[in-house]
Amino acid sequence: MNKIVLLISLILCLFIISCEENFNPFGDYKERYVLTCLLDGNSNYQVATLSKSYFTGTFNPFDNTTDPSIQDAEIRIWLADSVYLLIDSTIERGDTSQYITPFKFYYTDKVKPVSNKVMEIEALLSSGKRLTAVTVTPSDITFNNGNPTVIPPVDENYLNFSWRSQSVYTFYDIRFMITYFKNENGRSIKYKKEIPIAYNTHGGIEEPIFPSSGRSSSVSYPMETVTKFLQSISEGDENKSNYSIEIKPLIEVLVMDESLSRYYSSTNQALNDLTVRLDENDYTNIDGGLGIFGTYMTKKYTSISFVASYIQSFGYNVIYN
Amino acid sequence: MMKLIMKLQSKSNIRVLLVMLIFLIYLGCEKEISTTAPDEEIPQGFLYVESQPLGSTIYLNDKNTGRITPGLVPYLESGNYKLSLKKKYLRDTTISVTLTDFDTSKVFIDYLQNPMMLGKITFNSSPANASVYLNDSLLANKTPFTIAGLTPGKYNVRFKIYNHRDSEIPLIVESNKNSTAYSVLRDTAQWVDYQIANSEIQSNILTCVTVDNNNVKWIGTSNIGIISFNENQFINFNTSNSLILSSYVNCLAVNNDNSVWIGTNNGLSILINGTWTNFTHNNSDLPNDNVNSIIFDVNGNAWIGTNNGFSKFDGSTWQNYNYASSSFEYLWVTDLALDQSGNLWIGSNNFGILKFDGNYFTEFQESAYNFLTNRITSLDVDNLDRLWVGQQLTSQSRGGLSIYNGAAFTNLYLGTTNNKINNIFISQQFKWISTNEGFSMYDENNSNTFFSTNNSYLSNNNVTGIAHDKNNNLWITTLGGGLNKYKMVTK
Repeated sequence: MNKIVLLISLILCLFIISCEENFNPFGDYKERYVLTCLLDGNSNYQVATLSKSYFTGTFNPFDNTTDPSIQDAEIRIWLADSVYLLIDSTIERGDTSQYITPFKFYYTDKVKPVSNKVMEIEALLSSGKRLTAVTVTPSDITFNNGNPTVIPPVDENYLNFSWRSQSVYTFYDIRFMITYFKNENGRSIKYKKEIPIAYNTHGGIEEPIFPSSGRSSSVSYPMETVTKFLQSISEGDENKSNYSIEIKPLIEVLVMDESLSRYYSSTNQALNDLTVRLDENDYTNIDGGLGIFGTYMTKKYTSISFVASYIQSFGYNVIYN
Repeated sequence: MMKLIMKLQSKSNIRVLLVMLIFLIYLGCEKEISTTAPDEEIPQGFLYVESQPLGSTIYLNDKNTGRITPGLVPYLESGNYKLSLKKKYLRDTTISVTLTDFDTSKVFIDYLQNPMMLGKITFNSSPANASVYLNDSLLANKTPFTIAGLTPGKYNVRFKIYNHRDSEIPLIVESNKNSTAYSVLRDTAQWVDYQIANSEIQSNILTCVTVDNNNVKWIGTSNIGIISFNENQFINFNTSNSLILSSYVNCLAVNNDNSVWIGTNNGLSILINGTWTNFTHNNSDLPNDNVNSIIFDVNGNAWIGTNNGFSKFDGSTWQNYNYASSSFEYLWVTDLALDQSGNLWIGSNNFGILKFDGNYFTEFQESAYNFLTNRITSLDVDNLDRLWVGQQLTSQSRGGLSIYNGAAFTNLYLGTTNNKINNIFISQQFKWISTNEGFSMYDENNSNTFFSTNNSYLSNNNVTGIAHDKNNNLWITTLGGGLNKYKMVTK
């Protein structure tokens, strides 16, 4: 009887010990492919990159010095019934701290996305592995500012810009740009700068805050901020007449399609309807791999003008462009 | 548990229990956890498509594959596919194909076996009875006729009739359609025009023309120097490939030694057997670099009219002449002519006509002699020793033509709006008057025939110069319409 009890105890011990295993922080390595292609709706020139995952055996990804780019694939883009084969090419790297071989990419100079069209991409690797994605180009936007916008506005402390679009799930990225020239040692140097939406003070230092990307289809710039920005461009320079401001600034709205908006939303961890909650921050819309395929378009609003006396009040010259 | 063990009395039962426990250990350690999705298997179906003609776009299940024939569509799932081939100008072709794994299905589609895929061309021309070259192959029939069974695509059709300019047109043939190739051929029995669009001539902006002793035509331009034409080849001599002084040529003349004298707005260039000699006011006594007229006397001397006087040049020495009056300080010479007595007639842009007998000048002013204006554009002397004078229109009066018989001037209008005379050319009994509205021909009876784009094949009305060659052809330069050949005797 004692023997039986002893035997059962041994077996139970064996049972417990046999399930023990060493912890492996790396998990199973499996090669994955990454296709990235962001189509610019304001250009015929489009670029895609294709690469594969790698395993360094350490926790430092920079230990890998072998370029993971893949060059012998066929990448095609569909726009309606037309198909465009991308050409593989290389360009010298500016930063060779990790990879010394030229940067590999694919391009075409024949595709210009138009609004509200289905576009598709396919990367076919030499192994037969196929990565595909579909996106719908964003709708065009129309600015609501009917009359030309005058700066400073009459009886208002804010510059308001708004627009409308048929697309619902669209992220916008807004830039309010001015162009000015500064006389430097007898030469007129051109500058193009973005006007911030606010200033924040950190440790006694004022930092400009620029509009963040989001779904809002309007933006308001406090005149106080615009004035502060215009003052700042000649800060420390007593000779204000060295500065000449173009009288017409510019609003640029970058419109992202739904794929790109979702990607932007997920990578920014925003909690809204577009958020894709993932354990890992690796949103993809590529079937068969990782990466992102999306389109964006930039729309410009140019019906804006400074009042000449407002520019001159800073001591600057006015350029009537 | 103990109660259960107590019930097991036999050794065999204990063995069974041990086996069960070991099995439990095995199962208890099994895990069904995966951190990544399993890889999908790569499909292994391949489709190779060929066609006749090549270059058709391959569609699978109505989707453009982006591949053209002959082409391989790789890594497809096994199964049935709708394969369509599309090619411009041809009808679409669709078939069903079945693919299996680890196999390459081959498809060949011959469009040309299907009569519905082929097209027709009807050839027609005006006038009819033209020979037809289809992509440089001469067809057996003459227009009008139709041929069928043609592969759709782009074709080049050339019509050819004797004494007519060839006409060439591109044509597209589509499946099951009849395309028409029709052309009106330009009659060249009497008139031939040479323009950049229809010949090898290098410019359409021509200012003057002359014919040398070898019957080569020399043509002045306002943009690329001079052009020689032997009726086979146009050769351009410009400031880049020759030593000619300027791109703008005012006048041309050929001497007895067949040297070509070129008056430009930047001096005088002489081309003798491929060798250039240049004269300007900087390297010679040429009075002014704007050379407007060149003629030769019976002794071989050249008389050269410029914007500031004229010169006699015997090949080595320059003798300059000028003339001033109370109204004008210098003589702006537009044209020169020699009469049968050896008198030099000088047309000017500022005070009418002068006669120079070698020693003295005689003035001929519009007010005293009752010709049309004092702005003379051209002069020439006919076989009856009469002076023909072309005149510019002015703000006060029309231009026109005047004839001086040694006693009085007779004024003629050419029936045009402006009567701006550009050039007078006299050859045998004919006088050819160039205007900016066409040109006139006066015969020995002073009967006038006017040619313009309205009543002839003249390519442009702004006629700048006329010359007569040894084959009895008239060569006509125009400012904008290139060169025209007028066959005075139709062959």
